[in-house]
Amino acid sequence: MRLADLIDSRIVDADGRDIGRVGDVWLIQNGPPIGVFGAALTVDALVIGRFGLASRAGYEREGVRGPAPIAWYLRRRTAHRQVVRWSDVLAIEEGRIRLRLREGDLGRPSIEDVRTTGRRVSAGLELLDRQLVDPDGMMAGKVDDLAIELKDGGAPPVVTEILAGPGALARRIGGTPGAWLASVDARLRGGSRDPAAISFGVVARIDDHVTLTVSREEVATFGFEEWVRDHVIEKIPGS
Amino acid sequence: MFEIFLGILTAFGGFVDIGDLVANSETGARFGMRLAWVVVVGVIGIVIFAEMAGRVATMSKRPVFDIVRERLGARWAFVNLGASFFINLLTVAAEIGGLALVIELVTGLNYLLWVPLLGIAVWIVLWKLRFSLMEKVFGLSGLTLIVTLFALWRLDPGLHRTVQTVGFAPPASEGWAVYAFFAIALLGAAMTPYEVFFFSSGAVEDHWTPKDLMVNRLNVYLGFPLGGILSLAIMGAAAVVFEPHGVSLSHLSQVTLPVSLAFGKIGLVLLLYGMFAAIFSAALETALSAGYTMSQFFGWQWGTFVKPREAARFHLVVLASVVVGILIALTTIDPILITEYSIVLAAAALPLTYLPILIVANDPMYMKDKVNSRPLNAIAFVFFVLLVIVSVATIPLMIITKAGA
Repeated sequence: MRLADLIDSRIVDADGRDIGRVGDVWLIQNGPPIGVFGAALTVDALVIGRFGLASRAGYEREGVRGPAPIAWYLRRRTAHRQVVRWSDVLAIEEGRIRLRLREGDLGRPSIEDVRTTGRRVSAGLELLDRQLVDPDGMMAGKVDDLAIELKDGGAPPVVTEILAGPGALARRIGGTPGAWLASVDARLRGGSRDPAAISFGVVARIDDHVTLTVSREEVATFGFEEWVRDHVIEKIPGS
Repeated sequence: MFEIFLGILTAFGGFVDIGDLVANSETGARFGMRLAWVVVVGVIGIVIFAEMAGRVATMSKRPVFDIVRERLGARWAFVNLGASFFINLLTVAAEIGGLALVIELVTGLNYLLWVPLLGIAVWIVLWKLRFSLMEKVFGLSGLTLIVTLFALWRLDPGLHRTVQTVGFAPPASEGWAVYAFFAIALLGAAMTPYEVFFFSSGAVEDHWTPKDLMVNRLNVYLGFPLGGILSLAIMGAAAVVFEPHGVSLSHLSQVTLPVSLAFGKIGLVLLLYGMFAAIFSAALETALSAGYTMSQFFGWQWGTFVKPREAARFHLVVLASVVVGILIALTTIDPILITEYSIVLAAAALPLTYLPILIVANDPMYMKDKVNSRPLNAIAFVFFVLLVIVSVATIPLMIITKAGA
């Protein structure tokens, strides 16, 4: 499953009522070990709301204040959103998530309230759309999406891979531009429609960018760069 | 100290491009100094925008379009990329066309002949030279445009006639819609997005650290307003020479007329040299900006601080945008017209780039203790509202006024 599919899924409570969409996913670093990253990120909670500018601006966090009118407006739309802990999820269906709880039983904590055990990451705010950088400081693509592995028996899903490149991005853009981007990407990569994947095991750090432990030349997003380098740029004198 | 001084002069000389030359001359001829206040507003706007973008880039090492992608998300950032990239292509075409018009004035040979040659020259400089060097060479050469300031003084000693037309309403011969349309054009000319793409990417390329923030502020706070004064002088000179006779501008040669009248051939030579340098540096910046926006959206390696072979897709986009710019300029669509459209549309697209920077400039996760101060936020928010209004009004005004015709 992809993070982009999880975000935007509809949430249905125990009474069968549709109570909104997944607007963000909170991850916690307490899963099984994955490469140099250490414990893997697992899905801890789903935030109900829209995954729009308001949730990407991050005004619900402490210390983000200005400019006052923008902060006020965006915070009003994101603060105190209902949060579903993964243990309250009953089933995952196509585009729909069923809960064990009724809408009225859901809490409204902030990510700071639950930031107690293990590192917590807001997937929408701190991971998605971030720059990937290799150990030499070279840029290696974006976190266009995440691959999430569902576990049996209600255990929290584990984030296994970073999906990068236009193939992964296309689904998030959607519509005609998305379809166009996907077909361009498939053609550039010899017909493959699976997006380029980078194991989370090679992630060294997540801060305002995501640092990898392998060179950009070893990750799957490098194919197009390499082709352009070998077939166009290196043919020009002085490259 | 010398470095700081050089930076200010570079920002000064690099402020004016084909958009400012055309918009300021045109509005001066039609409205006198009645739109001069927009230049002041535009300069304040670009100062705020560029300073924030430079500070964000310094603190987080993330240039503008990285931030746009992070804050707007895949979909809206893609919309912004489409709009910004298209407007940027128009601007590349306008700058190359403008360069060709300058050479036409010098040689008398049709500008279309010069378009491919100058386009290739722009690309060779991009391919061969480092960012900081080319910025300085062309920025400083652009300083000869100061001749316009002296020309204005010579044509109108004491600036009595110039000051007379200062105002906040259109002259009797023009309507409010046209007045508003040209106000947007002037704002777009002063606040061109490519300047900010370029400026913030430059801060990352030059490895700015928090120690350089003071230099960033000085460059922006002094260099851009000086450039604004130059823009006002261009407007004033056109106002003094053309406005009383009701002449409207349609060719670049008319832009040079006030300086010719004041100082004859020597003045004209200096002006043309300055125009060429200023437009050339703008052509470099816009072509690079095409590469910056696209690469930073998709996460490709970008920049002139690595070898071209290490930023292959970036250089492919830069090359392609120069080629497309040449082709657009060769369509025989008047470069002046392309310029007008590019600056007006640039103003309309601004909020999508401005808002993410404003939000991130307030976020301690990126900025540590260097977040916006309260007074800065107050002005920056007023500008955000203004830019949104401009953005909404642009297309209707364009239709109502037939693009200012």
